[in-house]
Amino acid sequence: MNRRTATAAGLTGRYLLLAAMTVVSLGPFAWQLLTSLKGAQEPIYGADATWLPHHPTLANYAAVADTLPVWRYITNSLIVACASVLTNCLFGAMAGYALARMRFRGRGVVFAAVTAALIVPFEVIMVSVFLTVRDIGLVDNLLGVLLPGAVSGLSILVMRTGFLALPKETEEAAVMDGAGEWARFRRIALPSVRGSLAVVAVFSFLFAWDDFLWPLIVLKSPDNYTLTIGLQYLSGTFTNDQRVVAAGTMIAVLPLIIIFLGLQRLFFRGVGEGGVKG
Amino acid sequence: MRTRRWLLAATAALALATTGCGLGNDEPATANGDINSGELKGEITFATLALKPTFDEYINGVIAKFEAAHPGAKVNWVDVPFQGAQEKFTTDAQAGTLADVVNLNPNFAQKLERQGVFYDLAANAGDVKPTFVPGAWDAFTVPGQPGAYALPWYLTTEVTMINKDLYVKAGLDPAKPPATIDEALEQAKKISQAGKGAFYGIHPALENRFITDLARLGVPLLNADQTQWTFNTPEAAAYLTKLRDMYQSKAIAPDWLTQNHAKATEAYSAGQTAIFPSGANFLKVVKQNAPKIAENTGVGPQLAGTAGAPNMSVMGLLVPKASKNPHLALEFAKYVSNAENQLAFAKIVTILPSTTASLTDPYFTDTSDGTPESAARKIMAEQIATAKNLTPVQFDDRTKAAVLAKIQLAVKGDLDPKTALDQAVAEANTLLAK
Repeated sequence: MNRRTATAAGLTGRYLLLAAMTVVSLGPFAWQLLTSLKGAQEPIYGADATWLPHHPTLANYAAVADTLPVWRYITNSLIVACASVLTNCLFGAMAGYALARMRFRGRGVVFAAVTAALIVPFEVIMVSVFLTVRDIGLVDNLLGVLLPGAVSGLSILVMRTGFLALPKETEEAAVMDGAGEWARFRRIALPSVRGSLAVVAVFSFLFAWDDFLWPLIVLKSPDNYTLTIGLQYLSGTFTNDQRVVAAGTMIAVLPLIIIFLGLQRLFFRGVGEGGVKG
Repeated sequence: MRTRRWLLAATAALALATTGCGLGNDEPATANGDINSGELKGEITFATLALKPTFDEYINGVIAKFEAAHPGAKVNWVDVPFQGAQEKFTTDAQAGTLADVVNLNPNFAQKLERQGVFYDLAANAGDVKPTFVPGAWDAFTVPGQPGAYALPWYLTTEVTMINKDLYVKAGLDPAKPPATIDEALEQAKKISQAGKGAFYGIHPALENRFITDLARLGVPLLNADQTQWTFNTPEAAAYLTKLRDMYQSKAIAPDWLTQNHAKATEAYSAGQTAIFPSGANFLKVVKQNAPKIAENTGVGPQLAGTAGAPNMSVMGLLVPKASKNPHLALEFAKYVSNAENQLAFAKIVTILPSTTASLTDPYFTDTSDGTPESAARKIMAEQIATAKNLTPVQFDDRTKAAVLAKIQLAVKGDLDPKTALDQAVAEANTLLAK
């Protein structure tokens, strides 16, 4: 009896805590979503503002589409983000596999360099990276936006950890069967780290999609802007309609939610992949 | 964000130190910084600051007229959003990839001006100098360096907006907005008492207003040769003491201590504060987000101190030395900033032209429609003649952060106002000496 009440109390407490966390993390998002649906005459600040829109409308979304070429910017963002997912998964896996499985001179140095690259904030090297991109002739080009983040140190480290967790025996067996390094990588190792690949995919998509400063610096003509820069047009020097800004934010967040939901199961497997498995 | 800025500034400085001048070798500028005359043909790029898409029609119209008047000339317009603009301009300046005509405010321009990124327009466009409001022209000079680096473009000056409802609730006359800083503080106390925490008198927006308030109160911010900060005077201490007393008697909301003008705009839009000193262009922002508050807004002149000119914000047009076609770029900058084009611009939005001739237009004197906008326009046009950019260019982001940290401690009551000002001046001087 006593024990059961204790459990019930514990359970109630736990759920209360979870509910509070949900409110804290989802509250601002819900507020943005509801603000984006409010009509022009509704107050959005102060005591008069209500949670639910009184005159729900999609006009703010239409205003976003009127203000900027949304589809064009979404396409640009998708190009960069998808390319970034591909390069990070491919080259991240190759580099990660090399660091995890192959023995070569200077492996420790390479690993240290990759780790060190994680620590350097991008702002510090931004000017020199930009000079490099300029000299290659990729200013105002989406390729210039992609290149510096094409293989991030994080992707390499995640993939390396994923490969290290694989049992060596399988690959040794493959060596017996006469499989070369390339075949072992493609046929044996890569299919076993799908979870880690999902983690790399989600993160590289997220970073590329959300990046603001670097695309802003590389891109010159408005036609090439990505969505994060394009959305800045919604809050200029003389306008700042929070309802339209909120609508723009929702448009920007939607693809991230879709990607995450799509890869959710693989993603959580990947987060646990670092652990020992049979 | 602030730390990131520092890092960036440090890198930029390093890049400059290592490359000598940082502009690369491909700059076509003549050694003495003169723009050679040549044919007004070719292609240039014009970069504005956060004007798209609201002013698409206006800007494209000006460009079309310019191109029609100069056959063979082509102007490409790009617009840079405000967020990240400083990083973008700094990086572009180092790489020599700035646009041919760049729209900057003095705060963004100052560091680059000192590094010699731009043409001296006092030397190259002296003919148009007399057409501009003097205070606006001076905003783009560098202390201790000859020359001026921009043609002034549009201006705004602060007016004082008041929430008439809250004035009535506090038993004050809504037809009489405060005229001086002291009056504003006195009225703010009464309003806060009446509000009992539901609404307050004034949002301090220390980050934006503290230093200009001191200037308005006649406090000398810098010494004559601009080598030392000097704002630790008894007048400044008295003003800071007043702010502290208000804060401690809860006449200012506790979380407003560290907030800036953007938050003050929100507080005013939410009906939480009655007095809102701000550029008149924010009337439109208030109107978009809180139509009822905007209707109930009364407008008065900029809060005055005991001495000193009213404050103004300036935008300028600059021509980088990296421009491939500086002659055409300068001609275009002159065209954009001429009296006729600026007047047309001012008629679309609550700004002021920087050309003295445009200011005499009836548009700036007629208030018969009774809107807060026309009242604001008239007040702004009247005060612009004597207005100056009160924020010294030396008051950069780092200095501001160092000074504000001390001021906030004093307002909170953790540091005696006099001591806080002394320490702020000492820290600011260390930064100035660098």
